[in-house]
Amino acid sequence: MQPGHAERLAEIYEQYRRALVAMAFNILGCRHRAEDAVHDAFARVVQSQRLVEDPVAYCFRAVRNAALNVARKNRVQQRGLELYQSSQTGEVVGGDDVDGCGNLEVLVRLIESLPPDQRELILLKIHANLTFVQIGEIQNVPMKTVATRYRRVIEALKAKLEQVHES
Amino acid sequence: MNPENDPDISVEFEQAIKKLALAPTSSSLESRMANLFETAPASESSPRKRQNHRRILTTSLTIAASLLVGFGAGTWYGRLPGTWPSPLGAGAVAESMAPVDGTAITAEPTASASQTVAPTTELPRARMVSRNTTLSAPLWLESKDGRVFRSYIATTKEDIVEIDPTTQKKKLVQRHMPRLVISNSPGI
Repeated sequence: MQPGHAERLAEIYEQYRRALVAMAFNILGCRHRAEDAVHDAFARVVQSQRLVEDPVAYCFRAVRNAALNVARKNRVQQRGLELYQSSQTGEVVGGDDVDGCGNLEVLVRLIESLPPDQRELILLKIHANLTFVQIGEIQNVPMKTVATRYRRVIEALKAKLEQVHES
Repeated sequence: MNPENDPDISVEFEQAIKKLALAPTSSSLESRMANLFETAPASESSPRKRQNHRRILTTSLTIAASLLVGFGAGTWYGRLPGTWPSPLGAGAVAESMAPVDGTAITAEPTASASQTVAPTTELPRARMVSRNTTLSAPLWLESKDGRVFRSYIATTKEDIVEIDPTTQKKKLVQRHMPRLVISNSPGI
């Protein structure tokens, strides 16, 4: 066992808990199931005590796999997404206008209108601040593919936002 | 070029998205996770690993025991006829154990017998011939007049009982006492 294995996992959870739950929620569309998936995945990781090169990517991947397993078993129907705090509380975090990008609600709606895999990419890259290498490890795709997909997602989002502003 | 620092990607746009706060986790998850990390095993190996180690150890011991038993049986039953220890010693066979025609035989195998027959190809090991009788590998005996007999040591497990002369009741003295019989026929 690695010394302080549980402590290291607790640190990872503390740092990334919102992103982890959001990633599971992005797959399951249900907050309770998403939190259950996070808990179950961490329980397995704690028990396995496997030596891994990148424990952060490993935890994200474990949570993602747990959520996908639940989705497969229950054939979860995705409901309306509530990835962001603003849509839960009705309050906007960071002001009504974000660096000239327009109304926050619009941006939230645009992100939530993206396909789940693209939402996941934004979540992992921007909110969890993971590298393309880590995301590639989590999604089991080459790093360059992740980078290309990410660029396309950002471009698509910008284009959609411009369309909203024009209209 | 490092894709992490791709200038094509709008940093401002990323910063804008980053300012969106993700929904907080529930208090029930927080308590469950705290409990999970507190109760995490502190020992060197996890329960699953310990289980695996126990299983591997048990399997190894079973295999080792089987090999030992097999080796022991093999060294006894798998002996070549020439090395088989005679229960009768080196002397002549008792009359009751002599072949049917009454010819006296010696217990030692002869060179001629060893040359003419390849005994290991016939019955290399002891075999069960009935529920409680085991037949040994063949034992080659030569009579004084040069005839060779193929014999076996039959170990039969029997109960030894005593009969009380006054009451005529049977009393079990020993259960499954092995009994040795030498025969020139395998069909004991």
